[in-house]
Amino acid sequence: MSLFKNVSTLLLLLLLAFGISACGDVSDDELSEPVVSEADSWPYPNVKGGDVQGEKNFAYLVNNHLVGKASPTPWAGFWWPYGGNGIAAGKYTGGLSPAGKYDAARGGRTHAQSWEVANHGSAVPKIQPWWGHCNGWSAAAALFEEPRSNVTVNGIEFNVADLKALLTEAAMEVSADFFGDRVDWGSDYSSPKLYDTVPDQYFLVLTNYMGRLKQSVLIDRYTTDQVWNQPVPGYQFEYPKPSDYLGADPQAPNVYRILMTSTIYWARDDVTPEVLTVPFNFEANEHFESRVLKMELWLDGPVVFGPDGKVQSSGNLIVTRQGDFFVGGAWKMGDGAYSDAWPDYMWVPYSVLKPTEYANPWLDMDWIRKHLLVPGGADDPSVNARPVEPAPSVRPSPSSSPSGSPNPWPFPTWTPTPRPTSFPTGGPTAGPTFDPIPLPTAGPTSGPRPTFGPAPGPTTPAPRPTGGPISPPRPIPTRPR
Amino acid sequence: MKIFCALSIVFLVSAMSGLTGADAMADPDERELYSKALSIAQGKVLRDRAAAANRPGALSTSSSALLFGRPYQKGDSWDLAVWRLNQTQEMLRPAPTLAASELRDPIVAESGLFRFKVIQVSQDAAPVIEIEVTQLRQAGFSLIDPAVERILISGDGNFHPLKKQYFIKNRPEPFSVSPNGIRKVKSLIDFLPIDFIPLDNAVREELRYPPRLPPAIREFAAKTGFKPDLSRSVWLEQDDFFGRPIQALWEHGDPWPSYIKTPHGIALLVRKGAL
Repeated sequence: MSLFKNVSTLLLLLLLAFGISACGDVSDDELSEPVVSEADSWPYPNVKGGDVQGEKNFAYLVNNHLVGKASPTPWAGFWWPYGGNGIAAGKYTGGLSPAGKYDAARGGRTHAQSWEVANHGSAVPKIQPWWGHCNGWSAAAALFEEPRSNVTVNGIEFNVADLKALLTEAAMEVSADFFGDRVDWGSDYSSPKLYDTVPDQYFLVLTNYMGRLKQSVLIDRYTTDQVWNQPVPGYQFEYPKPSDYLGADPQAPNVYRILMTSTIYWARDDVTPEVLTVPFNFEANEHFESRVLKMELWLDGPVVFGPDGKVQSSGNLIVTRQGDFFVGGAWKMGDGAYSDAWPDYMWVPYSVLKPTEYANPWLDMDWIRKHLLVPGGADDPSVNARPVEPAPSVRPSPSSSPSGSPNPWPFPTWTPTPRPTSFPTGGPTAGPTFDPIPLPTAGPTSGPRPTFGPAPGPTTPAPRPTGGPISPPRPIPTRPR
Repeated sequence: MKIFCALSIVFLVSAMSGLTGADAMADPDERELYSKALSIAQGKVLRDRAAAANRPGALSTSSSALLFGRPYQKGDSWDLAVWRLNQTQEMLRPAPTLAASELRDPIVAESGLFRFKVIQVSQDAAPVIEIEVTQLRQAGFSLIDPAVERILISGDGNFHPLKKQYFIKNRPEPFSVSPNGIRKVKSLIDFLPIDFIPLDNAVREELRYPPRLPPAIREFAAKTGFKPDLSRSVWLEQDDFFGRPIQALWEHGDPWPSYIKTPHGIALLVRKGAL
């Protein structure tokens, strides 16, 4: 343990010294093709053909959606770090920032650039080097087709980098479905948050959303505390063999287990902002990365293979929980791969929300859609464009040295979480009842107070999660936050 | 810098691997976790099977009738105040005013008031309860989606959802969606907890304390005198399609749960009884 602590400390210093970021870095590329807008902002007409009843049957999903690909393909992008002034940065766009061009095209009636510097820029108090826009980029890459050519509005030219930046900022606040709890710091490594998303959930989200609906799914690919939001363009599962079927465990005779292997891909955020994404073809390259995930899925009925080796029938996938302890299969990633293992959480974005406190409130998605997301751009005759103000300079970044600096935010200072000596601990004193509800039989006033199971309500301390056959993670150093 | 970052990560993972080389399943702790998870999964399977086997055919003996105290009748009506919750997993939330424990709390977003009215009860072999749900512009609430005129939801006596239709302004035909379906596009109204919640395979528990409400909703609850009698209530824990929690507090005799929480919303029963 002491060796580990020493190694951890050394690594922590190394990581901080080199300014590890949550979202990435830079490279290069070419261009062309029209910009396409997001689906209509009003949803119902689009639901046609895009609405399905959830499917949990393993045989159906494995025979029909073993491979899935999002359409359109989410694009590679850039994370617009706060330390570089977010989308008020002129560094990547010839000295004029995307936010500054937006303000100019709108006749100076908006103040997106100054807001960005104050709220998403180097002027943010106690800024940390890893803060950026990777969540906005991920959502934008899923919701909007990739801008691939320049547009001009009111005489202001927006290049691909500008357009991607503005979409990224607008998508900082989106409506979305989430699956899995986020791990925030070292102490979470011994909490149930670490183990979700559970494999059955992972399988269901990918096959139902992306396999059946071609919907983009986003992941935090960093299993532990850092946050690396990335859009997933596709996934593949290997078809199971009869030898992968484990049957039921004697202690759970109605839970049937089968081993599966998947490859998940994600678009990169360490490319240059103006890059044009190469077509996705289920291979890792300069714009896409991949990871192999191994898991055990749990079903509520047996898997039957035919003589041809195909799955003929099966039960449904099981996803349930007790308190915060999510259950549904077991990850089989082996030892040591804790940070690059299963997604910390997954999410599916639907639409850009009106900005509140988090996205740049000067960006108007309707205006962007109407004037910037049309081929060539569309002038806004209601305003006269102003000259673009130069991008503000970047303030020197604060020291990222962990030595002597106070914890700037109300995040716990990292302390190694000792590995528990036994699991589970601290759970409810008794589990919930599993019988069908013996509901009260009397009327509203005369019914006796029903006697219930002993489990307390929503504030109950959560029991330990399952990890299945994977070691609980040892504490690793986290960035000071 | 990129190279250094990459090297650091490789180094980190390598170091961890070297320290955790034992066969995972040989570890008694992990075996215990695995067993516990299997046991919970087994319980879920048995619960579902038992519920399916014991499902009554008549509305009078259904789960909802037992909780309500009688079968639903045409004209039954109640109002729900509903709030949408924005999850914050993906966000960087460095608000200095937030305690560490609050950082991942969802943000309370839009709120609305919805009137539920039973418009049809079928007592056939397959009983169906049809409820019309209408947004109200009252008591300071605005319309969450003004384009939606009303919604029709139907479910069986055990509150398994069967149908959901949106009636949109200026559209002659209703628009059907899969109840609890998976969609490419969603209106904000789709996130709200206004649907049937299956009751007969829910886990029920005793609740000693009222559910913790976010401050904005707590304030509303205090103002409106929202205070369910816990001694006459049942706490229901259900999983949604993806295993996420749906929680409800149903006070015996009420037509609908007093409190519902889903991953994306909270609902409070604010009016019950005939109009």
